[in-house]
Amino acid sequence: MANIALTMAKGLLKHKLHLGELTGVERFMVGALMLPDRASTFLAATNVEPDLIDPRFDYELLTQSMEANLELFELVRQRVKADVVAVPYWMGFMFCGAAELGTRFKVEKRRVPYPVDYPIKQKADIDKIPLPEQATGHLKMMFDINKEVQRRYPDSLVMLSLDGPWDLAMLLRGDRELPQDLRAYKDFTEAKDQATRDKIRRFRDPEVYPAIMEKTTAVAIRLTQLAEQSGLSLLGSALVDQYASKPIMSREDYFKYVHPYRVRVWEATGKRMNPGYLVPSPKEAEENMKDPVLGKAQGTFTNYIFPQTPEGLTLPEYDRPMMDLARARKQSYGYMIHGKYLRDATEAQLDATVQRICNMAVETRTNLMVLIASVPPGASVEKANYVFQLVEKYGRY
Amino acid sequence: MNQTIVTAVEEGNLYEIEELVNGALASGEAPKELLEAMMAGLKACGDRFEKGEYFLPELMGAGDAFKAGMGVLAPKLRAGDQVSQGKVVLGTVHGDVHDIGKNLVGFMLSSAGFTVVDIGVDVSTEGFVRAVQEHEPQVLGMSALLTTTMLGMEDVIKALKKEGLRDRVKVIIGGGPVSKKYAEDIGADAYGNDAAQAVSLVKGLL
Repeated sequence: MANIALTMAKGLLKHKLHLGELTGVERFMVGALMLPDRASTFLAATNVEPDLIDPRFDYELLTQSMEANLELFELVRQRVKADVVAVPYWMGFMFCGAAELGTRFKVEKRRVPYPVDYPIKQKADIDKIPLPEQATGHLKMMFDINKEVQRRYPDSLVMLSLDGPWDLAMLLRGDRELPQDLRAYKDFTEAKDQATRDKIRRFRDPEVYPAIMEKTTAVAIRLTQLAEQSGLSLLGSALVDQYASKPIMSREDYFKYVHPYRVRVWEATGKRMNPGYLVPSPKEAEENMKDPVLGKAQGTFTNYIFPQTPEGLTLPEYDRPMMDLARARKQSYGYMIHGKYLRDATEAQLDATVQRICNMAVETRTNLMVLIASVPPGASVEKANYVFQLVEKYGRY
Repeated sequence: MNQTIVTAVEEGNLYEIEELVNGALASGEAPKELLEAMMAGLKACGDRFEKGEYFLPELMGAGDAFKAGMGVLAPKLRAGDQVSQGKVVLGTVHGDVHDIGKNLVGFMLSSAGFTVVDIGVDVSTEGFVRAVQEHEPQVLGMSALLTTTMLGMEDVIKALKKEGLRDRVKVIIGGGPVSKKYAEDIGADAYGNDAAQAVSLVKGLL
């Protein structure tokens, strides 16, 4: 975005003085300070299956060509009428630099690239992971795409998203080994006596976990520096450790064994990144707010990992407490329509769901953002647009 | 029941389970009773996971402790001591390397006394068919986390039909993007919404 402050000021003036309809980004920005004209809408473009937009595009092409990503992003912007359409690249987890650090991804035409081999097989491998001197490969492509989107669409919202120490560690060590490394380290540090510690050592090296996390903390900091060197802003960017939450690990373990590393990245970047942490309940969202670091995060109030019904709908009893919390903290409640529900629900069901959540937001004067983070096969762009139209219909304050 | 063994498995005490099992055997405890204690430990761990008290590392720890204990116990068990509830083959479909959900299902089934053959992640259609031919399970469980990979489940069911195996095995599916309707559409026998349902689901099919 060319100038966040200017866009916000313009939006606030328009809103206060009733000088016409807010643009999508203006609505988003106004919502950070006060209730805008209506609930806003957000689409994560990266999770719209490429062939639902245009069958010419597939993941083999999109992991190789910056222009293909930009062209597809333009098509998504044309076809989906959300206030904010963001994350303009289709590379799976290759975007965060893991491929350049040694993780091997499998790339197929119709499947999101996925990791199949990890570079850290033993402790000695940790030292072989380089701190990148410059952005190369897919990391560079992600930076370049973000910059080009910023240039082509100055009114769009470019939000950089970078993996934090835990998620990077999952990509470099693997999701089978890392939790066991953590377990061994935890058992070792909490062991009552030396005899127990000796026994633990016989089964697994407890030093692997902290060594990996030290490395990925350094890598995460380095990636933020490279992003800035590439001309991207860290302001409003997300430090993502989505796999450090339940049911992968307890909240207690997160705070003891992951959070300190994330704080170091956050501090190294001048506290400019958004250190969000996903929670499975309103109670934990409230607890997050008491933490000096997590309390600074935007986007905390979301139903992203809340328990769902078999149909893919968040348990409705969670919405009101989350709205109350979000309103008290002058934040928005991000209500995600999950891909599974978008795919399977009828138009009447979608209508009822969106109407219910919008009515609640209007009634309680809570800033609501309706998000679609996945448009899977079997769903359609038209169905996503239908949801956003419903928000326009029911979400006016 | 040997509560020390129960607790050791429940708490994932991989480091001491072998000593404990050896000690119990040396003091004359019956292998079958020790096996029951280890199974009770697994079940207790699963219960704590369902209650939100335990998480992935704890489950993996309990599974590892159970395996280590079985390493000591297995040679001492007589035929008939290990009465299996049935055999289940589990795998994540091609293109999908997410195995947390599958592991949880495997854990729940193991703790309920089923023999679980985990054939891993990113399993090809042919891999599933081979596993059914080789292990002859009563139930085949397929997992997927991605909306793009779940489509492979239908390929497996078609391949089982083609090979004449479909009538010999019940098929259950699960995973974030999967639904009861999808299970019906592709001709699966059942759909599990979460790992906790797995045991009753499989028991209901047998």
